[in-house]
Amino acid sequence: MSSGARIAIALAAFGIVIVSLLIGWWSKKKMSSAESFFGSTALFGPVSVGLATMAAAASVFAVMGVPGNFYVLGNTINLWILSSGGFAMSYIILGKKMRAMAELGPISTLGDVAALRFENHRGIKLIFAILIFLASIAYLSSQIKGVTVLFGYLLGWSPLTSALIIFGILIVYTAISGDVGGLMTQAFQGFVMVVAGVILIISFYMITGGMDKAVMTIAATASVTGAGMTKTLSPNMLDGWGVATNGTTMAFVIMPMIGLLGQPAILSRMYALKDPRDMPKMGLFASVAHLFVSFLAVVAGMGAMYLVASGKIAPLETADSAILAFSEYVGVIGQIFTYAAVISAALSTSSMFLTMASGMIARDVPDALGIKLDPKKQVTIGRIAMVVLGIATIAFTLKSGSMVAMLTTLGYGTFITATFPVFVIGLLWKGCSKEGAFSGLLVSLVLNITCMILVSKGVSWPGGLPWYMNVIALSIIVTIVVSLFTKGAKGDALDPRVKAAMDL
Amino acid sequence: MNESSNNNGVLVVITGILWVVVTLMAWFGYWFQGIFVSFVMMLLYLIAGAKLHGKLDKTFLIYPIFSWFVLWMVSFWLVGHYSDMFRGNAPTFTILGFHPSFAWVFIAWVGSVLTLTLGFYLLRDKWLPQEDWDAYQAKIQQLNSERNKGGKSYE
Repeated sequence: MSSGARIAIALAAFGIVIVSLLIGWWSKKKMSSAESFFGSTALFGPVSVGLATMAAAASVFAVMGVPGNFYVLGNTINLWILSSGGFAMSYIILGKKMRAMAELGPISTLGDVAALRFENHRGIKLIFAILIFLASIAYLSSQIKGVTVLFGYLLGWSPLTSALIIFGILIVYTAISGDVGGLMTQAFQGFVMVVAGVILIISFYMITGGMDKAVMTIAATASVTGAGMTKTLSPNMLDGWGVATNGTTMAFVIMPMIGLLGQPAILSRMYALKDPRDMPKMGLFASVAHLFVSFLAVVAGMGAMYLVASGKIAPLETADSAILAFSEYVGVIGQIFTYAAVISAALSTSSMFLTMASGMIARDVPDALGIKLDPKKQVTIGRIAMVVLGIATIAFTLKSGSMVAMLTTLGYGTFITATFPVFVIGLLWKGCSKEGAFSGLLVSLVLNITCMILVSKGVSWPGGLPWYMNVIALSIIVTIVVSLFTKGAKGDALDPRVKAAMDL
Repeated sequence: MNESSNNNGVLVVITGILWVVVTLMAWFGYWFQGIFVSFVMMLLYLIAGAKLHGKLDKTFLIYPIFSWFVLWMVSFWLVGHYSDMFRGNAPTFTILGFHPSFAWVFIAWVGSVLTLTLGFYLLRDKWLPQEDWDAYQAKIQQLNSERNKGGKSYE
């Protein structure tokens, strides 16, 4: 890469970070309460919330990890694109009930909704907070790792320098404006990702001469050797299932769709919307934006594999560099937008989870422990928590390699194990008792931690199924069975306001 | 409990059982069949969530919900069909430029937006009519003021 290109890319990447900071600063005037600081409750319209939801849901993994995994697993990983329809599915299933809950009282966090539904059951709030906190930190850690690798590759910076500069600015604007600034910057970052998607998709078709040419070139190539590396290819990588285990393939069909419903990035944005009748429009914006971003990931992976198969570039040293190798071949414009997209994906996901984790510390955990804090104090503690958590996560990510690897096992699946018992079952079914939800969450917590350890020891699961599928099934069935035999916060014992919200 | 909760009770219990069934099917090698069972599970969740006061509008059931369900059942059957047809070999033709098997993933992907997302937008009034939202807000206001008179706090 020429030094001119390197400078142009670095300037564009920093441009994204600086514009995000300015948006965060500008948004602080909208931040007037704990509800707006932690949850942007009922504040925004469908365009901004739709784009922000898509951006927060599409992390570094989506933009960088998917093309990288395609290079190894083939199309199994591209099943991830199915999430585009998952936004509407999530809103149809839970959107109006979740938004209706925000009318009952001051809602700042998902924990507040859980408290309203289950008579402020402290155990539910505490375990839910712990699960969400752990998975949020895992996500944050992954974003930090992705960005430090990227800037190390681009500018030769040390991981610590990259993390402190990029995430230092993120921590500043998130602490200033909370989720209000977070949501506005996520909407901007989502827009950047869409533009990058359009540019890379067009570039792919120009370089390959069409998808069919790329597919047939890859399918006809058994292996490629160059620069001391050999890449073995198989036509099986290109069919709908790819080459992962059957259980993983099945999970990758199910999880992007129904699993999206269990993501806090989706659930919490349901109550950020001002008018619930705008939710279908919000779904349209999120889905269409996601179409571009997910197809970006498809063409970047396919493009890199095509370049290797056709001998235009040497086999990749690391699979994760697939999108970088493809964009380097596209040229400076492609590279500028690729790096901008990766930075945007990292920042949007990070600000979302930093706010979420701080909300757990400043609001949900004290409340679960019976400590009442006034809203102003919650915001102050939230700000301090963001700074401390942000710096601690950077240090933890860069210094504790094996612990980080273990923790990042948690994430997408962990969120589902936490949210399905509480919200999906809890808000769809008046027969869900607080004892049932508590038991489901307890099983989730124990099994998430157990599986995190077992996965790190290389334990594999029956049928090649990812560990979290087993935990999700168990936590859901425990919630249902215990609810059938217990009575708390269900049926006639339900708060009539909650009943009204669930009837919508 | 009223009618709506009873209806959703059955649906939620079935979805719970289906989660376990899908997991066990993967354990015992029936992962492909498990995918279709999972679509039935998603269909039940959609029905449970789309209901308004315990009733589901028939038009909304047909489009977007059932249209999406049929599209995915057919599409993923074809994903499997073309995967079996060309497993271990290069495909002899492409659909939309893709391997015929992945082409049906592509169709399911774009199709889910054209059914679920677009249908949800076009039929939004069936999902949450303005008058129902207004009535809900009025009811909550009334319940809140009754509750406040009783000296109960909401936080």
